[in-house]
Amino acid sequence: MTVLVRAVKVTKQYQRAVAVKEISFELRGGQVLGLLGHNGAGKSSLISALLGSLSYQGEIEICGLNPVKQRVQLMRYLAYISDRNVLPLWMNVAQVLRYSSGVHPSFDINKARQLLSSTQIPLTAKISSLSSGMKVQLHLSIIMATDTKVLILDEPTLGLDLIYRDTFYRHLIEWFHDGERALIIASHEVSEIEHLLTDVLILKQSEVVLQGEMASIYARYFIVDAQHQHQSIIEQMSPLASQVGLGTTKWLLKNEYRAQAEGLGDILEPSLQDIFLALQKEDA
Amino acid sequence: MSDWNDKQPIFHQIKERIEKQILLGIWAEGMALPSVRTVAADLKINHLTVMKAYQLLVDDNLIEKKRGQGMFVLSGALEKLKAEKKQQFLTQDIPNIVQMLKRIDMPLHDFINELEKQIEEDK
Repeated sequence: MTVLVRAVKVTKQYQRAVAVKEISFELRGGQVLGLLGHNGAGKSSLISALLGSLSYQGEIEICGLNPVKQRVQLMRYLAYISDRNVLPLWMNVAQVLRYSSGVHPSFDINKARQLLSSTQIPLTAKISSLSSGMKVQLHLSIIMATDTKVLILDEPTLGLDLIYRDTFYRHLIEWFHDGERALIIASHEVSEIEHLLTDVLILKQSEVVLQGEMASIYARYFIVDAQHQHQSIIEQMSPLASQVGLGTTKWLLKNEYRAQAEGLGDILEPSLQDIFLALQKEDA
Repeated sequence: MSDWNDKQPIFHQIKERIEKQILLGIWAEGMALPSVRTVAADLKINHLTVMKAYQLLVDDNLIEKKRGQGMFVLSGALEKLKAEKKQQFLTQDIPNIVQMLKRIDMPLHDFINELEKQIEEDK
């Protein structure tokens, strides 16, 4: 698989503060990277740098192109959907499609029409009259009708109801599976995207606190669901987090303690959400 | 939505779901399983996870990959699964029953009577 995104020591330094500090990662076709972090952790700055709309130190290459210097060529392969609508509100759907075919060299208007025919969005509707779910769906349909190789989603389902979320992810997965593409998803809804990801990058105060393939990340931690009597033994294993339940407590532990913890209770798989929350709390 | 448990990785849970469905006859021998793309989109999960689950089933000789056509349930899969489940019942479930009988002080003949009664009712 070819490398579609390469970031080496990407840093964004404002006059007083560092927004992003030495972030490096590589994405190949078929990879889905989850970009997680609280507000202000550096997600938006990193995305802006990838999109070439923010100057930065370090190196970024997307499809072999520099996002700042070769922005025009790159926009053919790079797309972005955020929670904010960017489609022109005064156009109707058919006009947006014609406009897209005029400005985007690889836009396939017939494909876009066909994709839209499976939705509730009529070609005659004005963008301003569409619900936020429909706007996101329209935006995704336009992108799916181009030769996009790298798609960056920034809180794509914010404000969407459950049915639209479901349709959105269904279309996204089907499209993604049909080609050699890479996805970057930034979201607060960790549990919603967890199982879509192949890789994750967790930011905290501008720095990476956890990065890697999902399988290797899960393998670094485990949960033991133990009776309260074992509390003092488990506390010596420097647990990252604990959650008191009825009769038992769930402890999130690093994998090096697995052998010691076995027999103290049920061993469970941690979710990405468990790990994410623990890392945000942990004083580093 | 998708009710995954936290006892096992998801690909393992998918594998077990399919095994159970083969036992129930939902996927008959010789029948095609849904494509990786469909399962991924339906369950909103990464396609690699689905591929991993399918690969485990291939490794267990329960399904086979036909080039360009997808995954098919192998003939003999049902018998194989039944034998496996029987083994699992003998080595895992029966010891649990033994422990339970001890815990609730239930004499063996009471248990057997109850078992016979319920088997009769199920006919």
